[in-house]
Amino acid sequence: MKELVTKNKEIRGQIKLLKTECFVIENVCFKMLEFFTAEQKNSIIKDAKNVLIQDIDESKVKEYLLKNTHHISYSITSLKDVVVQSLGEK
Amino acid sequence: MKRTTLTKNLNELIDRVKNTFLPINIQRVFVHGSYFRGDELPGDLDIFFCYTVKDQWKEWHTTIKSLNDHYKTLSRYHIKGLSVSEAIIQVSSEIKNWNIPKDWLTCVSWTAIFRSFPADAFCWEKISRRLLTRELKGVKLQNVSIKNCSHVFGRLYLYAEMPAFLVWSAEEPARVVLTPNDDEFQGYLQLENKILLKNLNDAQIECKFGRALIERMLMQYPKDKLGVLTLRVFNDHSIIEFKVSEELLREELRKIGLPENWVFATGHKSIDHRYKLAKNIAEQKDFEQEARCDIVTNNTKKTIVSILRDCLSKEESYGLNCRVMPQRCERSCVLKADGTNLKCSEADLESGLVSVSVEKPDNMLEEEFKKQWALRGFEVSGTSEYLYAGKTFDVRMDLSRKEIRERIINELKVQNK
Repeated sequence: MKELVTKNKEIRGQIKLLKTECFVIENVCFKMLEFFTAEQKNSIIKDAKNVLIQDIDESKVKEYLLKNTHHISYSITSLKDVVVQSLGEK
Repeated sequence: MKRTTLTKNLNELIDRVKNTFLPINIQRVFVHGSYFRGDELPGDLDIFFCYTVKDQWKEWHTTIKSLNDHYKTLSRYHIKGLSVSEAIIQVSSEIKNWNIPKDWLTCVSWTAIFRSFPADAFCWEKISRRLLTRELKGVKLQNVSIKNCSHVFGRLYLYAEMPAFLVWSAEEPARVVLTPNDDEFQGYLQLENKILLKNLNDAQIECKFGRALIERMLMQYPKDKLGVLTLRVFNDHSIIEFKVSEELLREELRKIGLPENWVFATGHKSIDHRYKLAKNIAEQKDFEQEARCDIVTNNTKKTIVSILRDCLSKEESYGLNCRVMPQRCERSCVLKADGTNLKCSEADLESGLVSVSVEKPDNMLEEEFKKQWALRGFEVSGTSEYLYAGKTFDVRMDLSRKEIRERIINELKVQNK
């Protein structure tokens, strides 16, 4: 039982840290992406996705990206389309 | 919050579920989250309940809908300073078969009444929630449909991938179980850990993707655009709370080596577009333009501090700086001017004018109305006619008058202390 409680706390801590980082990243991405054209955004997202695929199973990445585009796109409406489009081209 | 306080609140809540006349029938009450896991200082008490709406609600709501025909009368009572329940009780004598419990009327504010139509302010959810949690601090209530809740074993249930422990049910109203047995607690943790692991996996992918995105972007990002990353912290709590958190932010900034005067105070956006750099009001300096802001958050103090630390550690990799800018609450005071309350803010003081809409009594001539207000030192301008009220006028007062100015300054000084 003690192990389960410790594990619970540990995972919560890790999630909290990651969520904070994601929050900062989202905001930075949001600001930085303003300076790029749709074509540049498309290529940046494709590249970033390829980095992910090196370590994580592609189907999982694809599933995650399709499910969570609202997360990473934050308030950038066009980014969602770009992510979906870039996944479609693959 | 203290665990003992939350336990007391949970017992009180269950008593209310059993004894309060509500528009819904509550069938089960569940607990989950940090309180259930046994934390000594849980953040709050996470509760959800399964319910069905009483058949009689349709009838009650039809009666409540009649309030829409009394919009203008309600507005008059509001101007007179009556509470919502007092005003509705007055109006209800004109409504046929009025059978709404008096308690329910205290669950609605004037703001909600005038947001659209009076009846829209009353819904079973709002009434039930308010009656159940009134004056119970730290209780976070969530209502779920009974269909979405599945039984696992013992008193353990699952709702939308969230394990929850049954503390009370209508089937056994006298039985309240606040502590699970070992099996139930173990089952809860196993279920929760499974869900958390999935969330962790998602967060890892999200972070990795974000980092990769930023790395790629930095390669192509125009160098001259790399500037100041501004973290704006919205704080819409009371001034006192804000002062405490501002001090804490400064302390954190000192600890991590950022200049503490990076804390900004801003005017209310809708009134004043100037931004002020301020350690205190006396030292404030106006900026012509809004500072560039890359991060906007209304997160809690703890999160702000962790984001700050994070920004600082990532500063090199992003090539960006970080700035903290909490939004200062607009300080305001109320001037009582011959029975009319004028809310006056620092921005008004700067602009030298304060205005308020006043309804002209039906039986008074326009000329006479203007004359009366002019005698009190007000200028009457623009008129508007509302559906719910009579003809209203904008009544303005010149704040450059010495005695008025002194009154406002003194009032604001008291608030700043």
